[in-house]
Amino acid sequence: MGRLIAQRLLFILITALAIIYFGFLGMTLIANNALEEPELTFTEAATVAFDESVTYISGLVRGDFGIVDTVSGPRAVSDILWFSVANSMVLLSLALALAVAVGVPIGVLSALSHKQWRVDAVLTLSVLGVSTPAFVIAAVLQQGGIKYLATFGTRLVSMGGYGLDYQHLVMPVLVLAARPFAYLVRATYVNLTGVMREDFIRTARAKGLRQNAVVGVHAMRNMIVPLLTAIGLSVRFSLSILPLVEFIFAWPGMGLRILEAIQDGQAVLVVSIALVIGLLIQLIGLLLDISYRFVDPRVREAHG
Amino acid sequence: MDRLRRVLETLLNPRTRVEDMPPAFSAEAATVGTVSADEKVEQAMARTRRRRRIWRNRPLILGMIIVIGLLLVILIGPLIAPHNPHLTVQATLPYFDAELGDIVRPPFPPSADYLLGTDVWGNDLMSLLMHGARITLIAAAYITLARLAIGAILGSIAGWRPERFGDRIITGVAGVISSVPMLISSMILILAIGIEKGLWVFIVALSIVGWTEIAQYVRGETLVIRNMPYIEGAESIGMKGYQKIVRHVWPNLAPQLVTITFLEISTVLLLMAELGFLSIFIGGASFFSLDPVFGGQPRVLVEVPEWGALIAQGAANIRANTWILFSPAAAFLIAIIGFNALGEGLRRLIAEGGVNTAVFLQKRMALVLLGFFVISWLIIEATGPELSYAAAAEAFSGEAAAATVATLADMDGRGAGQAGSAAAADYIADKFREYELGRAMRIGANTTYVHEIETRLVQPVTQPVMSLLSADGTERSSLQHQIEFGFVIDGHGGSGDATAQLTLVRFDDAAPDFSNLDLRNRIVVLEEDNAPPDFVTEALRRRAQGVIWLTDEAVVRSQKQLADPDGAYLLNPTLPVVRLKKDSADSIRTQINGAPATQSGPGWTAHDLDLQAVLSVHLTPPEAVSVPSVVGYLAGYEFQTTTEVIVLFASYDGLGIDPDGTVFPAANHNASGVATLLELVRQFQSQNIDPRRTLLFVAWGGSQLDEYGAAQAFLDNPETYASIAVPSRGTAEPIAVIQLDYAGAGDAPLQIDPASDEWLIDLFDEAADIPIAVDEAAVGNVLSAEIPSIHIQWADGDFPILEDTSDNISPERLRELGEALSLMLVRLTRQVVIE
Repeated sequence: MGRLIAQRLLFILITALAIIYFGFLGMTLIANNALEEPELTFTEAATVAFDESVTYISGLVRGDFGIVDTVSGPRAVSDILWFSVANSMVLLSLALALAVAVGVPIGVLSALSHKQWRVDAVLTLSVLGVSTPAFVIAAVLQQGGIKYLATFGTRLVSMGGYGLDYQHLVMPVLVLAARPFAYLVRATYVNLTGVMREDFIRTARAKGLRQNAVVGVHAMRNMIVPLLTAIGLSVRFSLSILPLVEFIFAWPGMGLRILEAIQDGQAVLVVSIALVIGLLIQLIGLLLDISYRFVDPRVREAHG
Repeated sequence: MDRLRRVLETLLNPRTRVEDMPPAFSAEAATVGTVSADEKVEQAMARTRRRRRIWRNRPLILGMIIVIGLLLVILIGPLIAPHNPHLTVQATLPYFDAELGDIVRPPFPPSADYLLGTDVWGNDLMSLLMHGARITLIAAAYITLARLAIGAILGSIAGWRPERFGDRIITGVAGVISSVPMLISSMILILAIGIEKGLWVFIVALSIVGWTEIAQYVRGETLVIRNMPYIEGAESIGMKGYQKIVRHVWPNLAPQLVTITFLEISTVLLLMAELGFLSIFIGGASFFSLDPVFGGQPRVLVEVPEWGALIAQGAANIRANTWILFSPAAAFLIAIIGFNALGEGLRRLIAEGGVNTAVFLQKRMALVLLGFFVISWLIIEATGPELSYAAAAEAFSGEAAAATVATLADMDGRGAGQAGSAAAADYIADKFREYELGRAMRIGANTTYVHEIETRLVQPVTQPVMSLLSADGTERSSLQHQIEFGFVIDGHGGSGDATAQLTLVRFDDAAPDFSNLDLRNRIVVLEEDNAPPDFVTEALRRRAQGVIWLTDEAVVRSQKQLADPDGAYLLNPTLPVVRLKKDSADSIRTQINGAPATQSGPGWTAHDLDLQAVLSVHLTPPEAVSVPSVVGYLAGYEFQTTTEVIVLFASYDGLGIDPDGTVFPAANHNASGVATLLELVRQFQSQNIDPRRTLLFVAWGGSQLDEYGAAQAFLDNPETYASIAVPSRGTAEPIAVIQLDYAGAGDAPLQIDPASDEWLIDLFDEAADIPIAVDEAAVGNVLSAEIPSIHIQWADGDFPILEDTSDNISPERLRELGEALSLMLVRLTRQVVIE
């Protein structure tokens, strides 16, 4: 266990270094491309990126993310970074909570349902949910909002902008939750129908257990690992469409900031945000791996 | 319904069930060889079963329908598209719609004409989608195949020797790549390589960031396969590691990889749609605007038809004009669902043993792949605006241009100040009106096509005569006006008759004193490079009857224009003064050789020649005439580039008609240029080519006058004309001048004046499929030194002046040059970046 964690932490460190270096390299090349006559050869750009990385890391060791030039003058990266990370976390956690809270029960209900049309409806919706680009959902919701405003003269919720309140959060959270939700419904449904066919379920039924007990105790315990995996994947989904969602709703989180930073050539900010996102993904993977061991004795025994 | 549920269930869950898949070589597929009657029945039943399986496989059916539909769109979409998305542009500048009685501007919402509406440029969205399917879908296929190749190779290497160095590197790199969301990493990578470099950037970038999932999957499968007994068997016969991977691992993965290929196309398409929303699209040069909703309407200018690019436009119009977003989004969604369904259907088909996946590993598969690459590449090459432009260029009619040349050549030589020139100007202005060009001249509150430049001209009343006689008075030769000689009206030059002995006066360096020079009853012959120009006055003073200048020029023209308002012309008393072109001068020069000096004085000698000459010049008094130029424009429809003006420049007038009825038709010399210009206008208008930059068409008059009239006025102050074309849009800036003449006859290659602008030469070279040569023979034609210019002509098109009739004009030559010019103009007026 300790060795596993140590190995993973080492890998996370390597990942972080790779993100930093290639982030700077990419941004150096972008800046170079933007010039009418590119000044740097690739080798020179690689050297520049290396120097920037060293500077950045030596600052990072002292807890200093560096300075970035903005329209309103130079600002500390950490100011911008933590503000946007916090904003994104609000969105992400709400969206995930919503997806889990609604998606898993719907998946369970449809797996146990005997009404075929419900199952079909739910599954069709979730096909659309995973295939539809996030911006389409956002545009549809916005159009709905606009139509509502036109019809009733009042605004249901805000159509964009920042504010840690119901008004501003509903739209982005809904859009962000759509894909994880669709995916969780599908994962829950598929896995639970699989589990329900297992012998131990038949045995439990044979013992005379009530449906609630069969599902709640025997089936759900076997669902935890695949569910955790699905949630882990959902986080990745949400993180990957985060820039889009924040862009559409003008939500000042990591996703919007990194787009702005790429456009404005703020390499340090790009690298910092990419680093945070990368570390987040790695940490979630690590946490999942560790939690598998706690919840599933088979994994524990297999890996010691 | 149960079936539908299972369809959906499996559709939703493609990759978790790979264990369902059979080994690649199913028993069914192995039934080959001789068969008995029973076996035949058995086989027939198996076929029926197989067919039934296929028809029950609804995701397969759905996927096939959609994917075959998409393939059809790729193949014939541009042919059946209702509009040409590259040419049927409206205008981004608001314009008045007479039917609606209102001022309108694109984008236009869906209507009967435009089923899905138009984009912000007024291009038909449905046609754009049909054209764009090619690049978007083929790009997605390329990216998927690249991901598959990288993933399969690296994954099997990693899985073959787990925990070894190679495995650690590969899984490590995969882990790093997958720890940044693909949207961000691919965006940075694309921009770092350079988005403007086009398709390959997307293929490289999206493959690099996207191979990891396939590699991880292949690695896992390889781990299982390497413990299989048949691997042990392969080892026992001495197969090497890579042989085992190629012969055993990949064949066993083939079914899953085929399935994954189709599912992966969906993933790639989804990513391309999302990138498009952030204005990262193939060939995209513009960046996303961060505030499309509140900060006006950024416009994404797309020349490469591509769905992602349309999404980018839609993103900018997400609230106001949603159809621009929803149409391409629906296209993406249909394709994504289609490929997903096809992949899932195939997975089920394979799982049920319905296909023999061994076909995917045969050697001829390499040929099929090669075929795919060749065909798809050809299709991509055949996509984009260039082809439309080429098709539009073919509407340039050489015959129509030749007919125009004939019409103009019949107008009595179109001489300045004569009826023919006025008729020609009217004819051109009528054509401009017919083609609905803008009127580029403003006179008071009115606009007109005709720009009149006032000047003063004389015309010969009788045919100017010059003939040479022998000393005994017999005629040796009669010279032709305008061809061999021309009269001069500078100083005392003008009307008069003379028949007299020729006397050459020669000058040396000494200060001259003409007091004892006697020129009575003589016509003075002067070498132009030897005599002082004002000697005519001295000759008059010495009672000479006339003056003949010997020149070294190939062309001499009569001087009809009193070009300089303060100049001295036709001073009384006048005497006939003529200039001889080189050939004719030479025939006199042969008589001069060895002629003894009959008179001499300080600084001069006079030599009486054994020749007499008859000179007769009778001119009208100078009269004020206006020399018309005809100027029209086609306004650039894009706000930012409408002030950039491209000028087509051709002269229409000629030497006119002489009193004896000699007409100088100048068919190829300049009527061909004007005819090409007019035909270009007609072709642009009939093909609905709306330029982004403003086109100014100038048919200028006065080309045979000393002062170039309109040409001079234009070159001195080009903004005047251009600014009328683009009122209230800021200062017009001419960025290119294209001069046309000698367009209708001659030989290849096309000669280009070496003084032409290099950028324009390159542009023309790209457009022309005929050889061009930057040739010293064409030097001296470029009129403007300030504005980048180009002068193009056919080689050897300079006919003897009387033979330059419309009979020589070749419609084929007009067409070749016209098409090349049309292509060049389209690029020039629509190219995003002017270098």
